[in-house]
Amino acid sequence: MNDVIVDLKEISKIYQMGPVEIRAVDNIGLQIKKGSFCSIAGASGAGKSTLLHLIGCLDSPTSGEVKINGHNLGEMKDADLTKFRKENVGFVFQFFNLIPTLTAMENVLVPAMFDKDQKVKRAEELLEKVGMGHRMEHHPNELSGGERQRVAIARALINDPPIILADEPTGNLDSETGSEIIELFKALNTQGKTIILVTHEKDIANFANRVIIIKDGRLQDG
Amino acid sequence: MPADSKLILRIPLADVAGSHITITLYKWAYPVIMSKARKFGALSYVGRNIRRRNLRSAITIVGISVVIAFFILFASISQGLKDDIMEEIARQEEALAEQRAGFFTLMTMDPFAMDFFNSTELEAMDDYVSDYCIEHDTVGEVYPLAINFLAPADPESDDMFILFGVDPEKGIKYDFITFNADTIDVQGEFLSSDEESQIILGNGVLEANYPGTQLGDKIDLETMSFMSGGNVTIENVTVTGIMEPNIIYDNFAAVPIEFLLEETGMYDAVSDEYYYFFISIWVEDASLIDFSEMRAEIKDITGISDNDISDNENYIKRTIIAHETEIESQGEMRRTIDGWLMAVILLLSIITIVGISNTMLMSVTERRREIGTLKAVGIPKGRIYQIVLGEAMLLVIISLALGGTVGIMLAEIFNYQYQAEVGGIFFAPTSLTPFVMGYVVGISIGVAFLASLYPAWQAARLEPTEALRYE
Repeated sequence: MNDVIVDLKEISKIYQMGPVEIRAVDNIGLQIKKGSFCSIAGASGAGKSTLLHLIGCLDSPTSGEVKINGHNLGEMKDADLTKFRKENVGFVFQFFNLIPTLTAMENVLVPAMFDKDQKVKRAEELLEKVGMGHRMEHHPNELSGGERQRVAIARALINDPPIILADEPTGNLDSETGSEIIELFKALNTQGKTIILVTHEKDIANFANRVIIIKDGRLQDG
Repeated sequence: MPADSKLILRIPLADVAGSHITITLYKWAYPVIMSKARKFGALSYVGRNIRRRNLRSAITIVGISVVIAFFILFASISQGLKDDIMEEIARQEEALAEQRAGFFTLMTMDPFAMDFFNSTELEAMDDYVSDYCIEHDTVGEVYPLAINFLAPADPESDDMFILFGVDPEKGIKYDFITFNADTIDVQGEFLSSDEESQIILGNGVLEANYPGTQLGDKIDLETMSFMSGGNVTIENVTVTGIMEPNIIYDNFAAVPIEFLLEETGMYDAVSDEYYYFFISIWVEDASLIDFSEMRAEIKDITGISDNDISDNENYIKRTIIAHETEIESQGEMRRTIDGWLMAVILLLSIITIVGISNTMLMSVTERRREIGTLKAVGIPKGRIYQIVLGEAMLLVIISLALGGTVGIMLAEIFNYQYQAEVGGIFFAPTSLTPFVMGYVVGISIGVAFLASLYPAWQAARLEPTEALRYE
């Protein structure tokens, strides 16, 4: 069991919309091994992103238990969760979520901006690694979609987390650029990072070693 | 370090001639500062956020700067007015302290009756007045005074020179006259107790009766004493002091009282009693004493009649009331100014709160996704508070620099117009004390802090998922 990095036990996330109860995640049990490359696939509204947010401690389940890297998130306070997230999870978003006023370099440094150790050297190395060494001082509006996503990946890696969560990372990119980004994830996976990727595109999902299909908040396969 | 490795700027200070502020810029510091500047921290992020919405930030900064400029102007005017009022109150209180002094004067109106006050009565009165005043938390003194006349050297002259006999140690206090070593400017020395045969001369007496006389010279005094019933010449009196020209004391001269009484036959060697014609009793704060009580006791001690004793009780009552009314009305004016200032501070604070709150709320609402991202990548709630509060602080600090400069200039212009008595509508006394500047800065920062608390709370409570969903 030591090689399980994500351990979900009977988790549900229920939203109350007036009189209607929406089960975004419905009684899911799931284990993901350390160093694996998983994709969570499903149609729009299937509950993929909600599941990803629960794994990434951005949200808490209505019921059930979430264990990440051996830690039970339900027992943690808000401040501890934030710290845990910073140290254990790197996020990559569909819309890149870069800060427009900051350069690529500064965007990578954002998670560490309150740290005593500035990590400038590590940020440079990461940008080199994702192929953005030549555009460190450029602002997001001067970068293409693929370049922005590369910067976002470098940002996710700045604190060297064991898990990378990517929510539709290719959803805003053309297929060629999308493939490049997936290659980047694969490279990170071979270096030991656990990659969990949410997508509604079958082609993209199939790049992963394990494909988890979700439908109406329930696991279908994987 | 070589001298050319630094640049020195000197900014002269207008208020203090010859003074300046020195700013030294070290050239070697530039690369050090720039390498620090290359690093990215929360402060640079906050600064970029201000610059990102540069038009809105500029409008907010201009708005707050105007408010701060007016705040400084109003605060300095109110301080200036209050300073003037405080000066007036101090003047009134000083005057009041003088006016509070009470006097009893005892004067035998019929010298031919030879019913003078003797040394025993004087001593008894001294003890009584001193004890009574101590009991009433004030100070009282008894001053005997002998009054003779000096004959003018020119018999045709109309000049009247008065020769006082005073206690060399205490001098005399009587009504507005305070004649002693502390208050009279003399060349040489005031009277001393060491020597009996000595005199200090007023300038007029010196010029008319003893021209060319210098300190240390001995002179003869031709006195006309109505108390002893005739003229007496006192010989070989040493001039120990010459009074500086003075409109009141030019025609006066003074000798030790016991010396004058002895020379003019007002001393009885057998009984060792001196006889006094005039006694003044001075009380520092007459509002603390009972005039009728003191009057009765003095009459008991001396047997003096009502006609021969007078006091200034009614005068004191009138003047104290007048001064107290004036002080009260000045105090009222001061409180009114404080009230106006409070109203202005409140109004300006509301404007600032609305301005900053609005700007920060818009900024937070527009950046929901960005704030959500910050939370998702591990920036804790407290830091989100710091970011929003930091942006508001930065806005107010820039505004303080701009508005402060304009406000100080306005205050100086108003004060210049006021001091120069140019008139017009732009004039008022202003006072830019460190206290005024301190509370302008303090209130501005405090108000900005308050104004940004709600937007900061809004930002900090954003759930990252909610923020990430926001499109």
